[in-house]
Amino acid sequence: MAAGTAPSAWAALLHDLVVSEPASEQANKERMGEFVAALGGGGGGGSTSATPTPVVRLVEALGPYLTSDNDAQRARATAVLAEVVEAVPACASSADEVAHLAQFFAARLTDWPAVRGALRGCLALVTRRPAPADPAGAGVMGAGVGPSPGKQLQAQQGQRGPAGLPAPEEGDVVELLRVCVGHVFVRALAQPDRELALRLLAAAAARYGAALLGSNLDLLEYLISSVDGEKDPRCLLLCFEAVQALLALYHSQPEESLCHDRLEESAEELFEVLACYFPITFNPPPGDPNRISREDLAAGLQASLAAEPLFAPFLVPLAMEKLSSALRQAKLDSLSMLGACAASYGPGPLAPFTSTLWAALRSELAAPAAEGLLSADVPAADEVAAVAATCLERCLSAFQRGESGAGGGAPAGASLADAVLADHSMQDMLACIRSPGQDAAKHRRSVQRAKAGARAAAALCRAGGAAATKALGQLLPQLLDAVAVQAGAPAEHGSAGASGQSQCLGWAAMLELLQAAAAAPPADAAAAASANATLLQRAVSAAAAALAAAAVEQAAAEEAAMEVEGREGNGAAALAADRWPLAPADCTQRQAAALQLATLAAVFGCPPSAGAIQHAQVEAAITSVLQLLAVPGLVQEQQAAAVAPLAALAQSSYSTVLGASALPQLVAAAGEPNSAAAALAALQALAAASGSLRSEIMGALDRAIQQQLEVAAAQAEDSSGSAAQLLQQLLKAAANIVTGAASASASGAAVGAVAGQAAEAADSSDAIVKLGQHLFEAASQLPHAAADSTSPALQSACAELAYHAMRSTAAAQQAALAAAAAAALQQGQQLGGLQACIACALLVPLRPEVVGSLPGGPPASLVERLVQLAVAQQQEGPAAHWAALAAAALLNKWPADAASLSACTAAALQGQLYPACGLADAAAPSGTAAGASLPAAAPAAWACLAAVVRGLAMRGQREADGAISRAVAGLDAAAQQWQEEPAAALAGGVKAVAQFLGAVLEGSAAGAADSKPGLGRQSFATAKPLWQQRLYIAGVGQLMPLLQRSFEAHAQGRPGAGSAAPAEATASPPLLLALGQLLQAAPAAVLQQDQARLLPWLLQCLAALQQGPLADGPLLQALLLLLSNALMGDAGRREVEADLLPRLVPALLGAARFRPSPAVRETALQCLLLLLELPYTALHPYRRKVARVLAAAVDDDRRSVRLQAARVRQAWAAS
Amino acid sequence: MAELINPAPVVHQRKETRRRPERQQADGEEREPIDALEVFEHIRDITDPEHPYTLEQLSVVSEEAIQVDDAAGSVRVQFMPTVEHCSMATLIGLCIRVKLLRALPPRFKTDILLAPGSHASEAAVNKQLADKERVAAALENPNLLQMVDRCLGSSL
Repeated sequence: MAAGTAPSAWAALLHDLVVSEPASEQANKERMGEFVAALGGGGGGGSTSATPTPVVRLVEALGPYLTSDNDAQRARATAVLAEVVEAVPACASSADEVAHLAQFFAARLTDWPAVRGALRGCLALVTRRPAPADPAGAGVMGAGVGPSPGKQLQAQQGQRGPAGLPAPEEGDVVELLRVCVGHVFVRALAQPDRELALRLLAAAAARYGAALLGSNLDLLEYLISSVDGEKDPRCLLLCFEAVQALLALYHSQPEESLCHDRLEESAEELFEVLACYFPITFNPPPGDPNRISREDLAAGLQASLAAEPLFAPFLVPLAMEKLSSALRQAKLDSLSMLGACAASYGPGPLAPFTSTLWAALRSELAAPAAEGLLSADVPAADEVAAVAATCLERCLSAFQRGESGAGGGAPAGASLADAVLADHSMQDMLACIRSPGQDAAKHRRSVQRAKAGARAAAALCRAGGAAATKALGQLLPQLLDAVAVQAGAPAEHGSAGASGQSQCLGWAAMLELLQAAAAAPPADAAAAASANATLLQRAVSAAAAALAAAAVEQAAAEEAAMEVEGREGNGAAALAADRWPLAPADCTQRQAAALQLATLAAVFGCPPSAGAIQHAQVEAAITSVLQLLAVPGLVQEQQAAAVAPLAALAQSSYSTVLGASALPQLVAAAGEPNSAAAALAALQALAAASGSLRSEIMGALDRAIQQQLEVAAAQAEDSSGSAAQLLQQLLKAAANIVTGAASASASGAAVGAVAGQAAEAADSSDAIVKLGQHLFEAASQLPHAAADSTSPALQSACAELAYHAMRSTAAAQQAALAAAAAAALQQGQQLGGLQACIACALLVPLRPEVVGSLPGGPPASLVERLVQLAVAQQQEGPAAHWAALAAAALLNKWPADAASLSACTAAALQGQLYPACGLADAAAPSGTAAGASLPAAAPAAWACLAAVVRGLAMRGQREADGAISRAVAGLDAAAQQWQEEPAAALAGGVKAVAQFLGAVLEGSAAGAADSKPGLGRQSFATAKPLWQQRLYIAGVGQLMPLLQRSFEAHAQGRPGAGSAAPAEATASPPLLLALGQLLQAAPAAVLQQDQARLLPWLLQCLAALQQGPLADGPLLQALLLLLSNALMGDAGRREVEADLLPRLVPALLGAARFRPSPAVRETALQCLLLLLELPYTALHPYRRKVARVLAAAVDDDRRSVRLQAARVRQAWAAS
Repeated sequence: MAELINPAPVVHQRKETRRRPERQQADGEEREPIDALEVFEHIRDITDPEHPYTLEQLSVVSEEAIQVDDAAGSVRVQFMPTVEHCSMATLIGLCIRVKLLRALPPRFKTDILLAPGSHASEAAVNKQLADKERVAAALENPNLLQMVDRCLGSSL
């Protein structure tokens, strides 16, 4: 140890620190930091090791100041020493040193000016021993609210700190605390000192508790005096923490020790000190660096109050008093405190208060049903009532748990449950359910009362155990009776009437109870379910019977309604969103049925209660649900409600029953046009709910599709035939199930599937492959004529299913099917439309490795054939679409073999697509004869070219850019022709090129979000990052010079044409159309960057596309949305304000009058509204024009446009 | 305001208005006529001059009390003050008139009336509200216009 080296480095600093008054808190802290660093680094006396300077040297140096008569100097010297002990614990590395320091600081505690330093030093020493609850030993020091120490407090002798440093001896700490208790009066200290003192107390109690109590120190008394009247939130949090630590310490002492008596004596006093804070009201000051919220304080206080069961006799009256307050927060806090205390005290201390508790909770539970409560206040009352119900539940479950554990004691839980069940609110609930009253006000009141009763009963059920058993046992039979008697009475048609009301209310109450019982902790729920098995069975059969009756009646009503006035009566009766129907008119049979279904779902969804139901009842329930599902004309919500119990069953142990009884019926129903929609929805939900059912369902659908395919093909001439529609529904459902299965197996694989799930996944992937295969085979067996004449919608539905099925298939299985499809395609001409569609769709989502391994090497001839198929028709049909996609997919996934790929690409583009699109040969550039290179109006060819170019661009092939420049060149030629004579004949070609430019870029780059089948990541396509950006820049780069040239030509030509022409100069419309398509398809990020350059052109597009043969509603709408995006940004607004308004306003006004599309008009009006952000002076010149257009727009044919116009008009008038 | 005319009005809930789904997709060209619900949408959110509630919440206006003939271009709105001696009745009527003036096409003739028997001086108020020149003069008064605009501010 370099004891001889002069304390050169820190001596000067030390002198500075102690003698001179610090300029500010911050400066002092910085100097202290430097000093501590110098000390910690080994004293700076030439020693390179990191051994810190021993504390003895520091004390030597500090000596004169520590004993100085100058109070300020002494205080600072003590503070420096404490700081060093805290920051550099290693400076006191021997037990002697620690003992000396402890004695020194203890002595300083009596020195009033130096008390802050002394407290800090004491705290640093005491926390050297790690707290029992946190092994890291940094708990109380580190954070304001440390983890509260556990109850298993054990004093371990001679424990050493984390770094192997000695902790002070117990005797020293006891002495230290004795001095503290005797001389440091916390209430008289400043806030930082109070904080230190409280931390010291908590730390000592947690670490040296046993020794302190053993030496007869009354810490509790000291704590009470220290907490009393504390107002600072930081200290208050520490107070709560110290209270909890100390109480835990006292509880951990042996039964016979003296401190229990002390605790009993002081409990009331401690409670009084704490209770005056309840309920906490605290508004944090703005910008508070401590970030203490009201919730923190309230949680601390609640934990402190809940920590001591002896508080019970005082706490209950306090809670009762605060509950009767009108303040919402007071009520909520009281309820939450009662719940927490019940959970922590157990049944014993609160047993004498059960009746008081229930009386208080009861009034809160009944509050929403109180007479004369304004409807605006109901939500607030409801919230408090819900919290009260939670409190009741917590009390009950705590009491029950305590009783079952302890065995003895008063049966508080039972008495509370009895009190609740014997209360007249239960009878009131039943009475309200039996006769809710006819008129609306009476009904509303009844509903509120029934709801209040049901809420209390539900709390009992949620607590589980004996309370739930009792509640279910008492209430369920009566509810069932109420519902049954009413069901027996003749119910009039459809709805209303007392019986309908009672039904709804009764089932709502039952649902509340059963759902609550299902939500109880599993063990308790099981007990309640097994005790009430027969009742549950009765409930299920009653629900089943009621549902069956409802199904019959609804079917009859539906028929009657069909005869009378179409389906008018049906759509109006939407289900009420709330479970409790507040108006008598809402009590329809549908509502009751929905409640019954939810009840079934609740019972089946909870394993213990589902276990209590017998096989026969499950079957009955399934039958009646299916019966209901078979009623034609169900609303979507009703379908969902009806499927819920089936889905719940599918997840339970009854899935086999479901598979045996429900599946055949559902599949049969799916074959009937009337019930197909509902049945298919049910099948989809079941497939989603259970993996084992999924493959069965897919198999069944597979067979149904094959059958229907033949039927549909047979009556193909009739395109709107029911068979075709049915088949479409089937196909869609199957596709949904397949995608669901794929995502389920993907997530299962990610999580690491269990063996059973893996088997299920294998099953379902097998079923998927078969689905695709059978579809393909069934289609290829159809006669050619029939397959050709199927409707386009049906063809695309088939193709989509094939696509989805193939996408979810593994590579090995893909290969076989793909080979078959490729062979069928290459075979010859005899493929019908449907067959071609399916075969092409199968080729789209191939995995890249499969493409390489197709029989016969890379399939150049297949691509040629596909392109041929795509170009064959003039208009784009499904077959052409899928053929183009398949060609693009094959080129995109072509194995990395440059020569064959470019050969194949060249053949497809030069040989087939360019001629079909009417593009001139590159060798003869435009200029010689413009007419020769005019683009042809062949949408199918252009769409195919777009797909192929897109596929090539995605993998970064050069040919894509070549195709774009050819298309732009063709467009230029068309634009020049257009200048001379804007012919309608030209419009088709121009539109086709523009759409081509848009279609190449279209869609999201990742392709992850949209499940729409196409070429993307989803279908395993190769996609280079930012390919869209590259393509866009290439396209715009070629288009811009042409636009500029045409604009200048027009601007120059205008003065010659005469000054009468008011129109602004614009570029040629064909070019603008192409630019518009590019803009609407371009990625948003690029547009944002390019905004300043593009906005003027965007406005030209808007103006040019409103009339003439090139007018295009959807494109206009997309461009207007782009414009409104720009107007929402600051940069865009500035640019518009600076020089674009003369163009912008007329363009918008024109769009606001755009006849063909209401959506365009509405969007234009929205843009006008956005313009109001600009300054008044900029807008003033246009006011009259705008007002004229708006006056016409408020008389628009479309309601939405009128409302928007009225809004804009008001805003423009007000600005 | 020293004393409120109706210190404790009954406040009602905002109604959920659901338009029956129409077969829109079939005939895109057909006009959707201006109807009572649409006019009600315009005036329901006007703020009461005295209370921070809307006219709908105070049940001053309701959909049933509005008659519209789109083809003939006429609207008839009856409103019901919360108390019989309400001195704000003319101001409320003026607000409704101004709002409809701004929101409806100019071809419409608007009649704003008190519901029969709802006000002590019903005839006088009705006459005042129907008098074009008095309405125009009222809107020339900047103080009055400011009050009207404050009431209409919430109904954009």
